[in-house]
Amino acid sequence: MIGKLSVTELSILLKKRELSAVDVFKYYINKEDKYGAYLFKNTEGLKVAEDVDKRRVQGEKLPVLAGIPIAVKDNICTKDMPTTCASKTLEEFIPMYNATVVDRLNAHNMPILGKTNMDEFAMGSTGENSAFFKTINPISPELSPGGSSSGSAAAVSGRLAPIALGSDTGGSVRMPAQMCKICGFKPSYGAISRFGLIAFASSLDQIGILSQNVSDCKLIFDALRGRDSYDMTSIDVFDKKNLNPKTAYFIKNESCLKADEINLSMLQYLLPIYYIISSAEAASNLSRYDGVRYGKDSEFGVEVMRRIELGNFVLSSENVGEYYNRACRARALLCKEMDKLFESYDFIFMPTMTDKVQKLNEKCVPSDIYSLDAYTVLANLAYLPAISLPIGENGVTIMARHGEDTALLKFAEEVLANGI
Amino acid sequence: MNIDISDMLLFVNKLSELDLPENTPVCCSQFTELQEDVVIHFGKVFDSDVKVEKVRGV
Repeated sequence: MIGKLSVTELSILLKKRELSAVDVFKYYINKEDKYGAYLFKNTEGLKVAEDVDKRRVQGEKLPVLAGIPIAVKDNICTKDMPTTCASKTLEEFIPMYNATVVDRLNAHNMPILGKTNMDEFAMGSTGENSAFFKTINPISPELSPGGSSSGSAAAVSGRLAPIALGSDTGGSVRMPAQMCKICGFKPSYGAISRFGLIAFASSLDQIGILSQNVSDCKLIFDALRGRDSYDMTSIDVFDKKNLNPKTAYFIKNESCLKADEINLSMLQYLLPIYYIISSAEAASNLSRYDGVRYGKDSEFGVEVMRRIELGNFVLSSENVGEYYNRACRARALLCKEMDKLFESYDFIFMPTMTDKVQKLNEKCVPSDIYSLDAYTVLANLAYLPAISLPIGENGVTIMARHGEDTALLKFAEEVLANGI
Repeated sequence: MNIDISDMLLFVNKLSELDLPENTPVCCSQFTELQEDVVIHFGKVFDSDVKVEKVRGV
């Protein structure tokens, strides 16, 4: 019964003491991980659950999420727990500090179930780039689970965790969410602190949430959001009422009948802009794994090496103008185009996935895999909040203005419940 | 390890087809006033021709 309950339902039963936090934690931690979702299981989380039960018996008022276990992607730093980014390079790395999101989970008395599998350093869209083992899609085992937050998506979809954190640099939360038929939310850039998230591409990275429904996502987002003195790009999002929202869509599907059709002139350039900027930032960020600071020689997989090589190519003195600077300017143009569209519309729809679906172990050239991100990278490039809902074959993504995350979640909840 | 990025280059070279208006500023993420100053400072240090524009105000 526990495995079928949403976060919202668990929270009510825990508060009424009809369920104990220890029972909930034990249920999830003892479940067999048949999907390869976890790289590390945190049995120490039981102490948090025991503490929650003890304090509830004593009549103490606890946060609404107290006692709800959560899975955390393995590129988010957790003190005294391995944080490997699914890479041999960080195989022995145990951080001395918590990411801000982990501190906030602790402040809400949420026990951590473990660290989830992923594409190495979050580079990939299929979950196949983990240096340790591949994750299996619980819904369609013949298909890839999507990536890079493959383990977090499989954990929630396969009921190995009630909810999970992932990270989204170009769709790494939304894409696996759609592949595993759950909800995936990428907040506005800065809405959740990135302190302690191991950097891939700093201007695109954002911690996101994978959940069974939008209400659960809202609860966790409220617990995590807001400014953080350790992350100078962090912001406070604001609440806004949207009684009669104006909606539009880029690419038609059966779920957008009432919305206006609009064009994005730069749609075909999104992927080149994204791959130039993300690879350039990755080359810079990963230069710290030099065999000195983390006590081990770098041992990257092919995909990570490929991106470092592309990043260094586009940043080299003879190419920087034609590639990196040009991509940055194109990104500015894209932001302006999105700002213009959001002057007329509150929410914009598009599919989460293209028609191409990646099978597990399917052989292809890198650009075939990169094309899977064709729609998702837009929200990262333009700093926008976006949520993927498991509607239809390709999923429905809804985007909103920067900072209007709570309005987006409220609208998404209505869309999921009542259709569009 | 021999890494071939020719496929990736073909992929990103599509950007050269984009007609980019002259003087399009470089995009920055959202900044507080202090952060904006910092970025403009770096823009001056590394490339005096780079124009930095605040595109996401807080």
